[in-house]
Amino acid sequence: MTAAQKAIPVPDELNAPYWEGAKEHKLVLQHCSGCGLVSARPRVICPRCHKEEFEWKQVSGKGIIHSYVIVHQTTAAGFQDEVPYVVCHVVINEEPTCYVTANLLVDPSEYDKLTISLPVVVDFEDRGNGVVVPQWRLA
Amino acid sequence: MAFNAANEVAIVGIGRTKMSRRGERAIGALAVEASLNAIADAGITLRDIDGLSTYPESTGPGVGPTPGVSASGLQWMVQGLGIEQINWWSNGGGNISTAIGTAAMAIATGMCNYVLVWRSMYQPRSGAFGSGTRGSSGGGAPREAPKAGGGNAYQAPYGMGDAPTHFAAAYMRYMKMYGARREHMAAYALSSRANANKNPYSMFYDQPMTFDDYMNCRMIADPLCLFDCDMPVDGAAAIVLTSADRAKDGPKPPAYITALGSGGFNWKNRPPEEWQNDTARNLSRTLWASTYMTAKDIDGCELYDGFSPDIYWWLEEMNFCGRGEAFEYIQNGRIALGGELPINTFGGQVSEGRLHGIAHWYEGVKQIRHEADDKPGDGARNIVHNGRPAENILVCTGMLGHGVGVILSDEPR
Repeated sequence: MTAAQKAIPVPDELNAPYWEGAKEHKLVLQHCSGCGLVSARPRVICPRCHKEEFEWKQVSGKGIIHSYVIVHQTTAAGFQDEVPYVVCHVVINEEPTCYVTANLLVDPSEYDKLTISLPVVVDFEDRGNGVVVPQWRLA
Repeated sequence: MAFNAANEVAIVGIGRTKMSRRGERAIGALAVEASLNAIADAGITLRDIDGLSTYPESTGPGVGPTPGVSASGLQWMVQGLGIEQINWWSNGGGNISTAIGTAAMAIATGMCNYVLVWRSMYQPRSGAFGSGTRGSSGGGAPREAPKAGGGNAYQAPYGMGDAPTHFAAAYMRYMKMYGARREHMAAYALSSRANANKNPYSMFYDQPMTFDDYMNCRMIADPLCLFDCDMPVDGAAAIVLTSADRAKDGPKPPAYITALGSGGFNWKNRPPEEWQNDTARNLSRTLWASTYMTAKDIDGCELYDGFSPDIYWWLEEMNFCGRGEAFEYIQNGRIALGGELPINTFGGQVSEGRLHGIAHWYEGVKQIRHEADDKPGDGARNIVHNGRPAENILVCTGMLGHGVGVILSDEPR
């Protein structure tokens, strides 16, 4: 019996630089050229200043835990054998409205110690076949 | 600005079907049955219906792939009911509450006389609600990894799929911020289950719950256990709205809409699950602006509970208690039948089943009619305060930006 593999992110015309950055082990996010707003998911127009120009730039990869969940039962492909695992929403240090979601890579024996506002740093998980996904670890 | 048609619209008919787990009947047939029940309850005929409103039309929660078989969108229902002519229709929104809210506005502005609103739910025959990419570890050849594009590219590769993995995070944050524990939520789990045990439509009618049952329940997405999640079902319910003037002619006491508020969005890109708070906050702001009443005038509430912590967001944002206080507010029987503010007297979705909001409206009307029965005529779930039957019930449904809430009242006020 073989479980399905984890889903593969398919870059599109908007978010390709994010996934290209991950391959180079860089957390690269879209910055508004007008006001500097940093967005976790790319936009075509800035909601704050309405500029339509953006730059993709590496960020520090540091942030704090905003919220998280410890998943015990899932139908998500490739994750049945990984429960309990953590999905974590992180506020990056550069931008208080920017939440980057990934797994928090931490041993289950540490789950009881988790809480909000803990500092985290980005890491990169190589899943083979050229797929690299940003992940979080406790700082 | 606020809704300025308070007291001009009433709910005069309600109908529903039995619910089941992956039942045999076509979903469209359930929607028609619920609708005909609501029309009969209103004391009118199908030909009197000149407005139709539902959610959703083609895709969304509780909607399967085949109109009539696993869905009951508006275009299908025109055929299913045999509608000859209508003056107004709507099939948008994001929850049945928005379909009801726009129906109230259509009545208030004279677009039509009687609006039928229905909502049917189809339980997926495999997998779960909201699971983006399924990959249960069945036998057979190795499967290819699913491809996740668009927004799902940021979720599925991290094992975010089923709805609880999305909605649990806001609850975890709440617990860490304010010191709430699962023991606190047991108060809602047990009161809603006790209510469901007096509701013959409930999937849990014959199944009581103890504190230990709740605390020992298996985790789905910590801190959400199975009993914090609503139960997917097949089923349907419907309501009929008309003007306050026409409502007086009906066979049943009208439930007047004496206040109405709407949910709202906010651009700030928090995890979307926290739109719940924004929804409740905006709904609160606009609802209380439409009436002179305050939270003190409310006899009981029917509050959307796809997941049990939704109760916290509603109670806090609707001004029943301060932020971070709901987990203590619900203790000591306050929200149980007989308490100061009974909540989800039918059991809520966590203990009745998942009709995605419309059952809250159905029960709100039952409360205003004082006919929330277990056995016919016993009023087993009726809200009564010091011998006085319920006069004002707050109904709020919708959660992710969308949403409409009303006060239903026994008299215009």
